[in-house]
Amino acid sequence: MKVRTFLIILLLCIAALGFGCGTRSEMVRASPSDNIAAADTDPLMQKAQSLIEKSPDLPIGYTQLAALFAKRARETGDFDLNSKAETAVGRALELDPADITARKLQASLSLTFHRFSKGLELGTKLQKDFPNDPFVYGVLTDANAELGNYDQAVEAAQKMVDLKPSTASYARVAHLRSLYGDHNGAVEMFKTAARAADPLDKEAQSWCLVQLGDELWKGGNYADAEKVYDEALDNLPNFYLALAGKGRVRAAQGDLAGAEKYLSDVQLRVPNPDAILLLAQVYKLLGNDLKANEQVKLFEAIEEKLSVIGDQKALALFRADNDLKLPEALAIAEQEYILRKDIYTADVYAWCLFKNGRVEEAKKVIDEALRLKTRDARIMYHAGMIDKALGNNKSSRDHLTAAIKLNPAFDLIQASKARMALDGPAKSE
Amino acid sequence: MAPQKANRKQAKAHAMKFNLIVITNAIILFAAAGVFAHPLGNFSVNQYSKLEAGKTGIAIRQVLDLAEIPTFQETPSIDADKDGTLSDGELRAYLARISPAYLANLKLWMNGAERPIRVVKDAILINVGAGGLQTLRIEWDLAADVEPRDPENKINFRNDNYPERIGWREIVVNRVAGVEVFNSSAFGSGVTDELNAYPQESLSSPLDERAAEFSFALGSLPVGAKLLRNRDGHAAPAVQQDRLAALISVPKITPLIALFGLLFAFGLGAAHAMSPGHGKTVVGAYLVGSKGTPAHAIFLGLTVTVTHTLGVFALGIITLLASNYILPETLMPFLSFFSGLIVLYIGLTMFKTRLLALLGAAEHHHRSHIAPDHEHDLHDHVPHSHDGHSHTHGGTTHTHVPPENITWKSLLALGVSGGLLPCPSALVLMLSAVNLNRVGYGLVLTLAFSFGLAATLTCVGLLFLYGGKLFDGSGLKQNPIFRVVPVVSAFVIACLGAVICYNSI
Repeated sequence: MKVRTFLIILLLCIAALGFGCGTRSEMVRASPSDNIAAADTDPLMQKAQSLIEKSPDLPIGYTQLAALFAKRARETGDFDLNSKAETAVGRALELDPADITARKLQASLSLTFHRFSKGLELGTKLQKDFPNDPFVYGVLTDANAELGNYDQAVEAAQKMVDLKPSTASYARVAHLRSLYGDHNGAVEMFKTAARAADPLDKEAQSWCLVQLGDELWKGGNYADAEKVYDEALDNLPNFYLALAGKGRVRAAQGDLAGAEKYLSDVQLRVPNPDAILLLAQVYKLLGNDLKANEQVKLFEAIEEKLSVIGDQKALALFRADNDLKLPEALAIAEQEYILRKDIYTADVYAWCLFKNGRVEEAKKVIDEALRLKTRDARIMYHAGMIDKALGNNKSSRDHLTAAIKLNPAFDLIQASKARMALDGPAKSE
Repeated sequence: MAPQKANRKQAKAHAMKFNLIVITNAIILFAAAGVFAHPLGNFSVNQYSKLEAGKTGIAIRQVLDLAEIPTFQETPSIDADKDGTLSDGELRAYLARISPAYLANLKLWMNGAERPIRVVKDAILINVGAGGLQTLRIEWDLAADVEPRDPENKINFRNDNYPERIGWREIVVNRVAGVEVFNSSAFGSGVTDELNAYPQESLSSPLDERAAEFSFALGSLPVGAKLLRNRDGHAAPAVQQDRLAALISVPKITPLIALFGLLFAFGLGAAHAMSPGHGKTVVGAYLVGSKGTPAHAIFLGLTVTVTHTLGVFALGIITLLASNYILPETLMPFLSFFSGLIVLYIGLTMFKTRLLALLGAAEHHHRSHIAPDHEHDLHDHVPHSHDGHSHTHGGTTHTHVPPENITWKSLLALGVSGGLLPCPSALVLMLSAVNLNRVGYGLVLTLAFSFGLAATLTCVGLLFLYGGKLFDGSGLKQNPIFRVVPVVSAFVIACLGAVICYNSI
């Protein structure tokens, strides 16, 4: 009797515990962390989050939030905010798979995550459904340019600017002009894009200015480039891309101390592989091999351990430049070249082929990289070195001279190698 | 790429192992078993501060969590002998080197005057993160000695470390029992469990709390003060100093320490039962109106012990097995609700019986008392129903008003309800024990604690019993008001049950 009663009570206890478990998992799904929304300091974020709270079944709050996260990621360089944006878009698409804003964001985020083919696929579907939406053509322009389908990219950009002349469409036109070797046209267009930006949209304006600065730097116009970076920094203080640009300009001008200052600053904010490598070179030129080596190790750690397969071009280039692990560098470049046929991937692949002694193949691939006649000193340098190895001395000299003339400090170490190569054969032959 | 994947898995396993080894405070364990991932990517520097207002000062728990890239950036300056590994000595030396500058950037003011912060304890550890890269975690227990003055002590706190770095910044404000915190800009609850588990799928922005201000006072809240709130909007409870869990984490268990630990656990249990919400009133109210005996009281105590011990074990096991899905804190309200239901049921049943008996007895009184026979009919399946009769007042039966006897069944239910809700500190003790591989000792301590708990309840029961006997001799029982007391006490039991249920929701 007593035993039975006790057993019954014990069973009830267990049932109570089980009841607790079930309820807990419900609570997990309802994600209490969404309550933190109130702590958000950005009023626009708050607005989007309260929109979600009010109408959790409508995609609009989620898409607004996604756009804001993606924008903040661009501003701060905090790439992980893009994952939050993607999560939000995912929720919006769960609610309504046909929601146009969500679909557009999904396509554009695919590009952010370097899933270019996916982006192109989504963009093409969007184009079918919404043939007059300029945003869709922006996606198509970017996806095609990244994959090396330049004709289609030009076509999409033209359609985009026809539909709606705006910062977004001007910037794309400018980018394509730069790729097609129209440096002055690109500079003009980037200026137009920056002017057309909504003055309240600091991020868009600063981003255009940084693009402009980069283009000026590519043309060797360091002083103007720095002015533009400064403008971007006035606009959006501590904007990491502008800081990196300034560091690069200072390095090109031979102000190594200044370069170190700006690049270290970038390092503390958003450690970006390009800036890390440049800082390594700056340290090396300053005679601080220890610090240079630390930066190189950091770069390698990030590229080897944290980056995605198919997105390690910088590592391949670094190894080829420094004659390190050449077969591995070639494998990386080859893998990426299979995925995309843009000129920069072709350039790195050609350079790796060359360094691995496969000069004939390198020549074929570097010609692909040169197919748009892009005025890029690095590609020209690679072309010149490959031609030199093949004995095409005239062509080699032309390429190397053009590279040094265009951007004498395109790379602090490689530029001097280009100069040596130019002096070498000219004297010996 | 299969080898790399395997490496990652291994790394994850390592990270989890580390968490288990390193974290001695078992509460952390609940969430720490999850995958270690930073919300802000692998270049974030994440910081957490918990300020706990106490009676003699502010205790600060400060955690610095460097993700993979900043850790990599720090590695050259940690690895003094350049052998590629970070030894304990190197880590300690690094901590000693960076602590002063880091702590100098933590600022605390009371009523506008800056107060020094001193280090009580610190720890530095390495975890394995993404890509097999290491992450660095530093924990400081700090203290600022501030003498609280009435009526209000305003605290300002600021963390100026790594201002430019992207990272999660969390500040939590807490208080120990007896101290009130109010008008706080920070919340009373955290999000990441001291940077051990970051929200993964959250659509909220990463926290960016760099400063906090609040007021605290001993005793009561000033008029118009805004209570300290948790992030969910509920009032934040005070932190109970967990002396019980401290028993298990002694460096070494000698027989003397074990003995002392047992006695102390017993004492803690006994003292703990005196705190509100352990059914003392229920026990008393039950026994006072019934013909309870010392045997009943002891049986009640034993039931509480067994149930409480089993409850701690059950909840402990659930916590260990399902720590990813449930938090014991979440189970507590259900247990509390359930035990409230039992009490409510007992109360209502008793109330009904006693009320009927009272009304009946009033009639019987006039019709020369035949109540005992009734009782016998009602309860003849309970062999001990007559045990409680102590006819100290001359063999008359009418004094046994209301004529109701204790049943073992209801005693059992009462005991279960008293022991069903495991005390959080006992649970923490048990989990600490598992964590430290001292399960056996933990079990014994839990048992001792439960016995202590039960001893108090039994004593309370006995006190009520003997107190009741004093009344028996005084002739007070003839007073009609006194006859109503058991009915009222049954009603009180029912109300208490309802209150327990209500509070748990």
